[in-house]
Amino acid sequence: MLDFRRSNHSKKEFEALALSHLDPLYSAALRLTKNDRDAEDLVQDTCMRAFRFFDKFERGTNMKAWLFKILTNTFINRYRRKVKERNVVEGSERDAVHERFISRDATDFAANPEQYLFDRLLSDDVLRAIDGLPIDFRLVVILADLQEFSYKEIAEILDCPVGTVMSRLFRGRKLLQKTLREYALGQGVLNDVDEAAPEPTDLNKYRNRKKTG
Amino acid sequence: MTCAELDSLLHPYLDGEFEPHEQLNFEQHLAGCAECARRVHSEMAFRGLLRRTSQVAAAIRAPDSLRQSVEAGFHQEDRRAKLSSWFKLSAAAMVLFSAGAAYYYYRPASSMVFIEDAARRHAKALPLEIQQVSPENFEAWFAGKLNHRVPVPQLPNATLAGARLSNVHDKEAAYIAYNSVSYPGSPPRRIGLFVFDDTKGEVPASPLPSVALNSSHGYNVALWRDNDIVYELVTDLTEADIRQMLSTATLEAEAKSRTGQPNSLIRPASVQR
Repeated sequence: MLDFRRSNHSKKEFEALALSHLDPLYSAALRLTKNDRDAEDLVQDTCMRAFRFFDKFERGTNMKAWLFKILTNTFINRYRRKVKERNVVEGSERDAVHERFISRDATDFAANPEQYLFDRLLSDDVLRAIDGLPIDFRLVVILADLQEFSYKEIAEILDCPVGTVMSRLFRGRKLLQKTLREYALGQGVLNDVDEAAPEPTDLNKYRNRKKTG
Repeated sequence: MTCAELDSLLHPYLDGEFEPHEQLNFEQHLAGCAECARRVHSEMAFRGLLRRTSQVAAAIRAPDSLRQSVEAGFHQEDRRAKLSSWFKLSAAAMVLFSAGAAYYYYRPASSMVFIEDAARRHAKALPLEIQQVSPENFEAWFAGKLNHRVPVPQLPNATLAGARLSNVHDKEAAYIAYNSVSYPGSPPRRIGLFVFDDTKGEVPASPLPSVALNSSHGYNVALWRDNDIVYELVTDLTEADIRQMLSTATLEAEAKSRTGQPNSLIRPASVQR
């Protein structure tokens, strides 16, 4: 450890590499904290912790996943208390989206509401709906659908089994759909995930069932 | 295939995980069931929406201010890491160096007022305004409260206990409290470090490695300066302990000046980051 000329070089490499992931880290931090000041603080904290844990990072492995692991841990430990959990769609937001819908051709919409619904929603609506998800679902949806990590990477980041990732993602997306539908139809309070919704079927189980008849 | 089954198999279908015959089976059902067909279209539209949203999320850029503050943070952490390396290095050479540091006793009448005042205030053990946080938080706490930056040195064999604003004679000062590590049979001793600005040069203090050792009110007071900033260490530790403690700081200062690096342990207020 006395020869820090060499470790200095690899530290510089590390810093450059970490900075290259700053944009997605900030993007995810925005969804988690829901305001830009806290998002900046969260990313700053994350990067400083990453620097201090630099020794624990295996060169050549997936740094993006490693950084996101620190981000989510830091968020859960420090910021979650500050952030208000919003499970209820705010009145004014809901109305704003609904306005856009009722201005469309009324008959067209009434005839095939479901079919056109998602085509007409904007990314901003989705981001806002994601922001309203309970934290367990929000984390997986952010990691899978916005940051495009694989199930295996997400399992490493969140330190849980792949099965849990898939289950939370399935339920998170269902909840998201429900929220977005409610935005569109101008309905009110969002409830818990519909317990009657089917769980995702293991494709192998389905195939086995077909074999045994 | 039943409608309920289909609903739970949407994902493998849309992800293209089906065998051709399974896909056919699936699509046959769709052909005959308007409700399921609608559901599949809806799911596809939802996925399209998610894809578009992920593109929007990927286009978000971190603000420049964040990028700069992260870079600055790395820079600061770099120097902090180097500092602790030098401390480890100096601990080994400490014995050699303490002989070389110049200590002297110094008692001109005018300087005693600063020494006596510091000792008196330390003796009062006034309550600390900030306690049990990290050194960076101490520095941040002092920011803006005095007209100079207050570096918070880590003293060997001592832990930071807290800090408060204080005075030394007519000068506003930072007061940083430490507790020395205790040995069996001897309780931890209090150490108080006063840090203040002396641009006018009223206090007769010399730069490290020269340290003025005095005593007042039953305490030992060590006095030195770093450019415009004067340090007074007040403690009931023995002279020998104080010498040992400051030798490490001395070596650190020497090493930094030899390599041409700025001395970040005890930094002058005038140096900008």
